[in-house]
Amino acid sequence: MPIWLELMLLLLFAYGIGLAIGWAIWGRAGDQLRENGE
Amino acid sequence: MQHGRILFPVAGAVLSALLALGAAHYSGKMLATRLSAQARHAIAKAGGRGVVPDFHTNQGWPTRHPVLRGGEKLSNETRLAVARAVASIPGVGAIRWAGGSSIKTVGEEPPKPLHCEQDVDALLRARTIRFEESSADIDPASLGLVGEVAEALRPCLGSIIAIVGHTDSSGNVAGNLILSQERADAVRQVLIARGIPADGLRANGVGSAEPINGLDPSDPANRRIEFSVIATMPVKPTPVDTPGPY
Repeated sequence: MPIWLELMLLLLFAYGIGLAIGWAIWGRAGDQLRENGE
Repeated sequence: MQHGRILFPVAGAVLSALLALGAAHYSGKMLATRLSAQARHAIAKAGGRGVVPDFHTNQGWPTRHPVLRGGEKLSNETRLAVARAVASIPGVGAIRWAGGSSIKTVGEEPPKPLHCEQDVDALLRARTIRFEESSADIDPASLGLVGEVAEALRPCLGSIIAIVGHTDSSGNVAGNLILSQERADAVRQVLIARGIPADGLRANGVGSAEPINGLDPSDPANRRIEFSVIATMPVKPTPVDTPGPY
């Protein structure tokens, strides 16, 4: 496996994890606020 | 807003991918060169004369997973030591030898013949699988023997085992043929019930066509079931290519 592919997979994985955590902390709260009409 | 919810994460992913490509472009070659130099040093230290590490994929991209070339005349122990030395370098991934295996081909040992056929013969020499007269129903007293046969055949699992039914020459030929086939089938069914895989068992009836050597075809001793291993398919172990600390 070439280095560029390993690095790409690693970064995409880290990005995906970051996205999931971000959504869990702020995304859901945002949805809730919108649902409450705030 | 809906577009933004999809666009931003996708844009982020593309950016990450581009970042990875850029980083690999700048540092990949350098990393491969550094690992290659360290590997050469480790190989020389391990006594791997003539072994050259190649830190490039087939397409020419730099990689952390080297292919070791050369050193065909070295002993297996030295090749193993060389592979271990390279594997212990921090950053090096999986190691392969050019040609597929870390083990030198020194002439494969032929697989040892399994003794199950002889074991079954020994079981049946003293006792016989009996059937109800003119029927393919196994005598209940012989079911234990079939169980023992199943146990004796267990080491040969993965082989094709032939079950051949024989009769004596009394009665008509066609009837004997059918009866011997039915008896062989009956034994096969019992063996399957005892856990021998069905796809490795072949049942065949030959009637009275193959009497025991030296016996009169009409002798009742010709009524018998024979087992033979007609093909063995030894399981090939997968060669371990990456001896290392992982």
